[in-house]
Amino acid sequence: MKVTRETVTGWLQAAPLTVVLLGFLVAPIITIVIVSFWQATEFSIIPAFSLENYEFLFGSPVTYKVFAATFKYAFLTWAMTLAIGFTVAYYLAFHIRSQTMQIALFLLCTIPFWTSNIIRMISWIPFLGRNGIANQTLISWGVIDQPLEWLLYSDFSVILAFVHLYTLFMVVPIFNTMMRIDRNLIEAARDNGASGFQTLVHVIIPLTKPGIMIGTIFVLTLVMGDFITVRFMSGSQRANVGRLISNDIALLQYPSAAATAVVLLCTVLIVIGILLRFVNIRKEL
Amino acid sequence: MSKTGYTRRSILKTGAAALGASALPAPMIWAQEIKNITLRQFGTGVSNLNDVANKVKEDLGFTLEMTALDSDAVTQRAATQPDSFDIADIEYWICKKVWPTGNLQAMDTSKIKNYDKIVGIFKSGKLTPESEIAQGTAPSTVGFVDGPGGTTFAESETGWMTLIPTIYNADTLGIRPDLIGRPIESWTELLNPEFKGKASILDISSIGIMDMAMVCEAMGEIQYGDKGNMTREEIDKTMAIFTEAKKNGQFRAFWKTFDESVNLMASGEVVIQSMWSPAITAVKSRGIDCVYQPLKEGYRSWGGGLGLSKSLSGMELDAAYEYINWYLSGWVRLPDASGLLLGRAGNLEGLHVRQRVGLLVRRQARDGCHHLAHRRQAGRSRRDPRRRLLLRPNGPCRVLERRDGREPVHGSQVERVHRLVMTVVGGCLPPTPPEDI
Repeated sequence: MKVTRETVTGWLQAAPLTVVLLGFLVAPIITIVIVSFWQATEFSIIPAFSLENYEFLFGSPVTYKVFAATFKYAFLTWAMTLAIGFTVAYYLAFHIRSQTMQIALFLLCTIPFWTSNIIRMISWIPFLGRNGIANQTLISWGVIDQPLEWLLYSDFSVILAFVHLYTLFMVVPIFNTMMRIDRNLIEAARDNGASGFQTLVHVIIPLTKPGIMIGTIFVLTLVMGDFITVRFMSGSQRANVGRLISNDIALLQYPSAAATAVVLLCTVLIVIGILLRFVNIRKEL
Repeated sequence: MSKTGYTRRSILKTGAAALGASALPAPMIWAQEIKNITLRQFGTGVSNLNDVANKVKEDLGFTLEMTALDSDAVTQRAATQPDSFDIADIEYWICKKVWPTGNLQAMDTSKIKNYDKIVGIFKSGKLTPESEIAQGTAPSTVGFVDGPGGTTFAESETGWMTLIPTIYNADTLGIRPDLIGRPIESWTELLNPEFKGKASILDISSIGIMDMAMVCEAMGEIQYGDKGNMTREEIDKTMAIFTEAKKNGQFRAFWKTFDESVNLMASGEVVIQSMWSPAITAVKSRGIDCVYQPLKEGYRSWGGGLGLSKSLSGMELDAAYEYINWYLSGWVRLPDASGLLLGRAGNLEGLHVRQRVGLLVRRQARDGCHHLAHRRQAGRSRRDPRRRLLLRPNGPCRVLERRDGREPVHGSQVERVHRLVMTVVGGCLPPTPPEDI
């Protein structure tokens, strides 16, 4: 009797989350998977079982190029946000002694995030433009004679915007794990004659791995699912998978968009699966 | 209602007769009931202006809710959410795409008071009996269906109209004469390597490919059977030419929204691109030289109108008809996406000229002066012939200085439109010598 009541209570406690996840995560994904096998004309969607969306997707060289571009953006953004995010978090966690100062500086990092994503992205456009502040400054310094065309509407501007938008997603989890590192361990490392660099590599980085991993998952999923940054910052000249999907939707090709979304979802899951092989986040948390 | 001796039809007639008048002596009961009616209209930002909704409330008594979206979103909504709107303000190419979904209902032309005044382009497909129907989705080909529930288009006037035309115009390339420094006369200039990294086209595929076709044809690379209904081979060839140009770095960016096109041009990122005429006006209003350049091969034209949702019935449907009749009766004078104005004598729009006063004169001369001069106001400013009115896309009239101080070219409206617009929407126009416009 007692066991039964506990079981029921357990089920009831788990129920709200289960219902929410079923309704808002599992059901939509199942719908997307089903629709991805349907067919569409210009104005209607035909419920059928057809592999034509996937055949078209895997049969087109554009798909592979676009996926390659998506990985390129994801990797470069990840590398840069990690480098910057780790440095910032390290400085905050180990060089700032007073906790008040730490909190103040941490809040300072978040201030730009009080404005809209889109605004922060678009404000780069006049800055990087042919006659923008960046080019004018460089010309007035005599560094260049001609405006640099690749500053805007290029891979450079896309990645710059991504790094700008998503670095905080690296800083926060890394800072969080760093703060929880037992300071005695660092002292012990020093007592045992480790240099600062050795302490970093052998003590801090291994202990920060879960934070790095969480940041990595944030950044990868954000970048791989993005379409608006790529559209604005490349002036529609570059594409990633998100743009494939948004183009399909614009042309009312929902089944094709769903198929692309399913492939993207699988790709991201595989990437995260591989990452999780390196670090057991649950254990480390 | 029967007590008062009015049928709905007679009320509608009375109401329609009173339209346009400042006082609306409609029967009390109608006025009471109509107050509770709300019609939801959505469409592109071009004509979904709150001023119209306010005036509708004032003149007709019911509420009009406006939602402005981009072309793709408009298409999606019309095709997938039929219950989310009552009136669809869409373009003819969108009509072609969404009509077969059955989400819109055809309009009984006998209830459209000014039906006989709608220009021929939207009915027979010809502006004048001698006009040739050019290539493309001519509005007349998607303008009629066989009956109220028809989902396939009829070939001629049937009395059941899909869209009531409100706007049409002809588009061309916009240029920055100060940065180009030489005359531009042909669509081929868009792919001229001289403008490498400084060209752009619009990224709305249904419209963009028409601009691309204009360029390819002007280059002599492709002869199209019908640009509005290309063969697969024609599409592939067109795309190949533009893909190569893109890979060679011809384009600085592509644009999808009005403001993007304005910013590209105003910032000098781009010196030649597909453009809409209010965007030109917006660039000019920043004091930057920008020209809507007439080209020898002709224009790419387009048009749009109002359609009714399938779910409209009863009183709401009557109100919708009343709104459309009001729309065509004269007050609405929207600067449209192309710089033409709607309504009042409606000469360049869905309706023929009804009165000389209020005639809208479109100017698009070689000196790049692109604006509308409202003749009545132009008359007022005749004291100073150097001053002309220029309408900002959404703003009040603004007086600008004309460089040469010439009077605007007048001429018969049919003649002007004939030169400007041969077919509408994704269609292409026959050659028009720039100096004649």
